[in-house]
Amino acid sequence: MEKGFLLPNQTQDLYFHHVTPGDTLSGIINSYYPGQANRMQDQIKQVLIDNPGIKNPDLIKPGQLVALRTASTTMCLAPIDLSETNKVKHLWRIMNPETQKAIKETSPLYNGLSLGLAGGGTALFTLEKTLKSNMSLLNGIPDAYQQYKSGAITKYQFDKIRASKLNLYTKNIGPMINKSIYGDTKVKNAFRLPPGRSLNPTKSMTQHLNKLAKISNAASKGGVVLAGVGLASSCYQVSQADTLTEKNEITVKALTSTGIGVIAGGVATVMLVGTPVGWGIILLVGTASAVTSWAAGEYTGSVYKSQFSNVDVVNSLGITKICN
Amino acid sequence: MIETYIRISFILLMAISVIGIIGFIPLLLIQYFMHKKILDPIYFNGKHYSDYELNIFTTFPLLLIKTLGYIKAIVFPNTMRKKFKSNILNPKENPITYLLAWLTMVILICGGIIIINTGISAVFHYSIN
Repeated sequence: MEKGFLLPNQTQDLYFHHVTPGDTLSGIINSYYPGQANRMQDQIKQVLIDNPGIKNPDLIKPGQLVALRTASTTMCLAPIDLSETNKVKHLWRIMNPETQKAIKETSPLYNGLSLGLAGGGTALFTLEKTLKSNMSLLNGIPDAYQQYKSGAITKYQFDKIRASKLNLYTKNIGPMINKSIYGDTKVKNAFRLPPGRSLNPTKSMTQHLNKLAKISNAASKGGVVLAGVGLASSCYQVSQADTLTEKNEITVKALTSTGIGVIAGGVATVMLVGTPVGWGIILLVGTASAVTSWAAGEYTGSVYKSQFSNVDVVNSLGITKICN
Repeated sequence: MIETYIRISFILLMAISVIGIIGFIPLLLIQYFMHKKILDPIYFNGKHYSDYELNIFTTFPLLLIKTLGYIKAIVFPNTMRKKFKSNILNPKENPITYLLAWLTMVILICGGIIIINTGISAVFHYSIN
C-alpha cells in the first residue's frame, strides 16, 4: 500500500494518507500501526473522530486525505486541532496533481531533514510572494475587458493587452511555479474568453484569480508552519525522550544537522550564485547539501554515543527547560 | 590515534555547527542591511538582475542569496564580473563591509573543509565501530 506523507507541526504530528482505489480504512490502519490488530476497533473510532468527513468506515473515496496520528501521538487522548487538519486538506485539494505527487515522493525527506522542512517553507514563501506580487497584472485583464465592452478600446487592443500581461506574468512567476500550478496547460487558457455569447464572460477569469488568491494564502500559512517546524520537532522529541543520553543524542544531531545545513547551504549558494547553471544542477546541489546536513547529524549522534556520552549537552545549554 | 582524530573532527564539526546557528545568519543579516544601503541603490536593478530575481530576492530567507552574491563579488570580484561588470566595492571606502564579507567567506571555506574532513573521519568511525 502506498504510504502517506508526514506533516509535523508545532502542536501535533499527523500522517496524511492519500486514498487510492482499493484502499480500505482497516487496511490503511494496519499499514500504519502494524501489530495492533487487537486495537483495530479503537483505532477506527479514533480515525472517525479525527476525520469528521468520514461518516462510514466502509466508505472512503479515492483522492480523499485521511489524517492519522503518528506513533508518538496515537496513544494520546487529547483531540487534534481539526482546523489545522482542514487547512492541510484544503491546500491539498487545490494543488496540481503533479505537486501532490512531488510532495508524496519527497515526504520521507521531511521526516528526517530539518533543512527539507525549512526548504519547503521557503518554497511556499516564494510561491506566496511571487503570486501576490503578480496578481495585479492578471487583475488588469478583466478590467481591460470591461474597457473593450464599453467601447473605450478595440478588440485588437484588448487582445494585445491580454497577451502582453500574460507573457509578463508567465515570465515573472518562472518555470517552476508555472509548472506546479498550471501543469502542461497554458496560462493563456485560464484567461481565454468563452466562445460565443456568454452572460458573464469574465467569470472563468475571476474564478481563476480567486483560486490563485487561495493558493497564495494557503502557501503563506504552510510556509510559516514548515519553516519553523524543524527545530520545534527536535525540541518535541527531546521533551519526549526517556533517558538523558537519548535527549543529548537528539540535541547533538539537531544542532549539527541545522548548523551544517546552514553552512552547506551557504557554500552551495556561493558556488552557484552568478554562475549560469540550470535548475537541474541547482536542485542537485540543494539536495546534496540537505543530505550532507542529515548525514552530519547522524554521524555526530553516533560519535556522541560512542565517545562523548558522559558530556551533558541538554542541561548545560538549558535545552531541557526550553523544550519542556 | 584514529580515535583522537575522530574526537577532534567531532569537536570541529560541533564548533562550526554552533557558529552556523548562532553566528552565521545574524552575520548575513547585518551585511544584508549594509548592502541594502551601499550596494542596492547601484546594483539591485534591471541592469544586473532579472525581473524574477528582483521579485523573489526581497523576501526572507531568499534575500540572503542576494547578500551571498554581493559577498562573493566583494571577496572574489573576478567570479562575478559577468553579472556586475566591475568591482562593486572599494575596500578603502567601506572597510567594515569588506572585512565582514571576508569573515563570512572564511567561515564558509572553513565549514566546507570541516565537512569534507567529517566525511573522511566518518569512514574511520564506521569502520572501527
